[in-house]
Amino acid sequence: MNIERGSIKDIQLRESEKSTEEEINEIISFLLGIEESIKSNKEEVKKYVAFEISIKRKEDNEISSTREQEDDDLLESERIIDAILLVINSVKDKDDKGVKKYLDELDENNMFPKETEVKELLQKFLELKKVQEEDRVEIETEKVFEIVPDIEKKEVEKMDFDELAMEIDNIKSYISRAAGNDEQKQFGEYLGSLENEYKKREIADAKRERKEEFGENETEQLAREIGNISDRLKDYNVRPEYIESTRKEIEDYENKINKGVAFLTGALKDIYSRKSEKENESKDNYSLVQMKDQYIKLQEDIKNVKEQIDKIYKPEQSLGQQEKLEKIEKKVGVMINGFSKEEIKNILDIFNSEDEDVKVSVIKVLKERFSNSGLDLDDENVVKSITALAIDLGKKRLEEIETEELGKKLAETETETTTNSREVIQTVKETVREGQIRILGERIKALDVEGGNFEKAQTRLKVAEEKLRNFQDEEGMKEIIEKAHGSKVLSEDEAMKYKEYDKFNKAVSQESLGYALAYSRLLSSVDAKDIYEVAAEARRKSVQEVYGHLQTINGLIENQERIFGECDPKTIESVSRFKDAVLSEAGQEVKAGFTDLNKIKNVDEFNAMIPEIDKQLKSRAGKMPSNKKSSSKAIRNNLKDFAIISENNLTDNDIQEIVTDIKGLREKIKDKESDYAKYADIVLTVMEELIIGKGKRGIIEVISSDSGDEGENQRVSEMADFELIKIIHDKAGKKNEKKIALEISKLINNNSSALEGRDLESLIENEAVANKILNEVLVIKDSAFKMYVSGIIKEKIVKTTAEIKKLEEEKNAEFEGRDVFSANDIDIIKHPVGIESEDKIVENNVATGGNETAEVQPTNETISTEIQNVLRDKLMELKENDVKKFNNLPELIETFKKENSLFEKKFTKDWFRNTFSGNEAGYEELKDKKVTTFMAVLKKIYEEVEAENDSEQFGGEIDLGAEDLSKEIEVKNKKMMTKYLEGSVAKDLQNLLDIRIKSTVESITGGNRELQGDGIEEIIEQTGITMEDEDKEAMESLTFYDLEEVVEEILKTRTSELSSQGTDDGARVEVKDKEIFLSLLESLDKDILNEILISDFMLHSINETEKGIGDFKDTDIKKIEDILQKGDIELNEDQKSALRLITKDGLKFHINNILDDRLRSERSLENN
Amino acid sequence: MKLINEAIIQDLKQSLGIELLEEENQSEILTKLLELISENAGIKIIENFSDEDYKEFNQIPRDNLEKMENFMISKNPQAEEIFRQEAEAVKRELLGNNT
Repeated sequence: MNIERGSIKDIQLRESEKSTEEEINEIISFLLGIEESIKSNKEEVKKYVAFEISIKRKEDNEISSTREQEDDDLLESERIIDAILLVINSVKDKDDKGVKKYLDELDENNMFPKETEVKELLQKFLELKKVQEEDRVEIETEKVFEIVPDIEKKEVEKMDFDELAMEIDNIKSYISRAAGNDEQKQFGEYLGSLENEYKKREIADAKRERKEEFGENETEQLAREIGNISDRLKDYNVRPEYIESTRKEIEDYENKINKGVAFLTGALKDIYSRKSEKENESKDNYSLVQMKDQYIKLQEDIKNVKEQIDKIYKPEQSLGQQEKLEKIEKKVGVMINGFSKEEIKNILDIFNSEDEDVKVSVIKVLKERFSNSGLDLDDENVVKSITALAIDLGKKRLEEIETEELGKKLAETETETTTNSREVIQTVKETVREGQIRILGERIKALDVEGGNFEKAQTRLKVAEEKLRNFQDEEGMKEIIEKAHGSKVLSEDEAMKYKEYDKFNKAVSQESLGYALAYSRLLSSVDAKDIYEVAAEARRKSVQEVYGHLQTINGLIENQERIFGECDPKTIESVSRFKDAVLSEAGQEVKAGFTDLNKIKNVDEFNAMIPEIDKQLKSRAGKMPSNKKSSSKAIRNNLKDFAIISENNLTDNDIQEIVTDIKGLREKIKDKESDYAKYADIVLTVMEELIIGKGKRGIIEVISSDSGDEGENQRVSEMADFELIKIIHDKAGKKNEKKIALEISKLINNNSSALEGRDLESLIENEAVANKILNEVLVIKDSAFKMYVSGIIKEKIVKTTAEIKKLEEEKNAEFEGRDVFSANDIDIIKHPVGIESEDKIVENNVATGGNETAEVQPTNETISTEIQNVLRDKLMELKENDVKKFNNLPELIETFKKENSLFEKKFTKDWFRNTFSGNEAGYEELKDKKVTTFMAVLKKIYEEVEAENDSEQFGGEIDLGAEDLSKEIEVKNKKMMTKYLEGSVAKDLQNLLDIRIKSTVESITGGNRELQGDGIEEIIEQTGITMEDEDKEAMESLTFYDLEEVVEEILKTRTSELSSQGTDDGARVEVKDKEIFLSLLESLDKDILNEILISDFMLHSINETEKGIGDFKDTDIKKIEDILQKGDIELNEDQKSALRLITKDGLKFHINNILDDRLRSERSLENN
Repeated sequence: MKLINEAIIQDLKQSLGIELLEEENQSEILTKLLELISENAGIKIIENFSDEDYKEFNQIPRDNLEKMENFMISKNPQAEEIFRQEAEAVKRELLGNNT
């Protein structure tokens, strides 16, 4: 900053010779100089002001400068400079109020550094303005009393522009002061002519100026600038970050050119309109035309340049392209950083090579390396850009390496000559920077070397050395020192002396350092550069000394261990315990130094931690052997790489690269003994997990994430399953939890494979298992495991259920729009794989429309008895074989009713193929049957078979015969039966309506819901409802909805009949569903209810859960609770849990037990 | 920690220049020093324990340093001074080798 201290004095000396205005202008001019100086050397000025601030701070008794304070000083400095620039602006505008305002603000905030000239100048400026203002007021006052002078009119045309302006002012002033209308009028006309002339001249002047602005020189200049831009673009020197500024540049030129064209066009038009054609051909006009042509040419040029830049960076792509290039820049940077000095030199040679073969190779390598970058690597410009980038970064890195090498060299030199710092100082002398002398000065001050005075420092050192020598020479001192250094016990007197000696010794060390620094200052003041390095070296040296201590400590520990080993075992044990306790407490501090990586849950958190991890790796590696150091460096580079690419989308290639790197790094840190290795291992694990995207920490996110891409979701889901299993196994500690974890693992595995194979049945089973496990988990008392696993299972169940629904819909869709079995279906059914000859016959029949096919009526024809028998037999087999799968027939039927799709699934094409293999008649009969008709028949057979087997397989019916039961029980059972009839029988019939009749009626009537005779007969046959002829006739006139009402009426009658028959009928009650259980509960008294809930009911229920599925959901349990509350019974948690687990089978079993018990008890009462 | 108190730690840090190191490195070097001092001083105090003292001392949980220290002080009133002297001795050893 060139602020000469003499300048202000000069101004002051000369002020008496100048006018106030001149003085003000001089100050403005001086401040403008300062402004220019500040703007052109802002950084330097900033440092200078910061220095001033630090001096001031020190005067305020803030002794030492820390790095933080220095940063603060720089910020403060910047603030001051900005404020000063603002105030200078106000000065430029001669805005004294503005200046005062800023000046006050600066003063109030104490923002002026010591002895700044700017403040003085500003104050001077304000004083002058004040004087000026006073003068002005004086003049104005004088004017009021001024006598109006005589005015003479002048020749308007003869006055120049400035004279005109002055005359206008004078006349205006005269008119304002003159009295009388005549004079006003007379001079008013004169003023008008003056103003007209002025305006004319003004327009002409503006045109002249514009002409100059858009003149010949300007066109040449513009052409040159545009040419430069074009050349830059051709050479591809325009880096992505400069594109926007280049565009702006082009835009400015374009605006200027367009203005030029507009102006010249206007000017020519103006001339043409006023002059004759002949005059238009004058030389002047011709030059204007030429200029216009030049501008039009410039318009073309600028258009070309715009096209040129758009070709390289299309506006709509430029951002993406730039991002990609930036990404590459970072990657190239990372690559370059990994190379050695020689390697970088080679790279630069290669990239700079003019050899065509080398160039081709370079392009090839670049294409391989950046194939996934999204950049068009066939574009020569893109390749050039990357090459330029690599060269640029390579050069920078080379410089860095060379600087590092110099640093190392200095360090080595320093180590070799620890007592003689002169050589080191001499070596660094040439590379010391001016700004850092100040830092050194402060350090010297901190060392109390009196402002860095070399002579004094030297004297002080000599004095300190002398004192030490004298003290050492004192009698007995040598022995004391030897004794102390030999760790021998000193007497109190000896210890005091040694302490004194230690002080002298330390003083010498201190003064040596001060001497070295002062000498540095001395040298740097002659040729000041980079003295900071010296100070840093001094610090480094001290640190080396401390590490020297570490070596000694290790030696002492080793020695001490030998002594310790010779102690008696009791002492060893006790001392070990004590030592462990001390180290444990102290060790916590060491451990606290590490970042807790286990808290990281996702990529973002990991990225946020990278700087900290990087710092720690760096600091840990500082103490490691060289191989660990290189590993640390590699990990840190990898972290940076990871941070860069994880900001963008990870490509497979990126992932692969990092995974490979991590693998390599793991190899390097095989040694698990050191803290570093352990820490690095965790870092790598986290990186690996996060990068691959299936890590524990990311799992929760993975499960809930939806990428919108089905394939991707599937992949993520599979990975999540895999991880879930791992997590569950990891977490399952207790025995029971382990068992559950195992089940869940199986469940998840099965689900994954079932989904993959689209196996609906497995999915249903898995859902059931999941429910069961969930119930088991829910029983576990509060534990984190429970929370965790139940969350996961719920997630899986929701997903599985959704998948089942989807598959069902797909399955149903297969039947939609296919009323008949196709020729292909029949072919599959009829001819199992391998029966070639028969295939051909059928194919021919189908293809030629053979007689057999033609005779079959594809309508509501019933399947023949023969085929029905075949089906019946097969169904029997099916039940035997599938007994495990379906558990029991009633349950199967129940499921069948609810899950129609399951029934359809059972009767697959494979099933038919196996069933009718070799049965030609069967095939023929099946052919062309309507699917709905066929299915209805099958269902009917199925139900018949079920009915036949029911009593054989499950003998659990309840006989409610009157003679066996007490009156009370009869009443209760009648109630129960009524409920049953109202509920279950009605429900069955309703099902018939919904499932069978509805479909039958629709198939018969073609969907018009009008019943016909055959349809009624079929309903009667299928439902078993008896109906008189007159009823049948009546029904013929009914719609489907009318029919529903009729059936309801029938049901009521039937219920009533059954109720009245009561116990005499020996009605067979079969408990089929939970509604009945609820009814039962309602009908029972409190004692029985209690008995149910606390007796073997629970036990049985819980046992049943091993093989069954809980059928009661939370809503059901709520209903049960409501019922029980009426009898003042409350369910405890165990009972609720048991209810959740009860199966229909268990329920049936239990009801029978209760009734039996009840019966026995009643009988016993009777007998007594 | 009572026996190796803050004053001892601060003195070691300052006189040995440990403060110049990064924090985690400071911890490492200090831990080693503590190991050395606690063993040296520990032997001097504990080897004079009676059989009962050993027994009682070894019953103190390993993580209860405070109780161990109190016990040592109760058995040897000079315990604090012994620790201070050991710290001085270690310091002298180090400075002697490096200055």
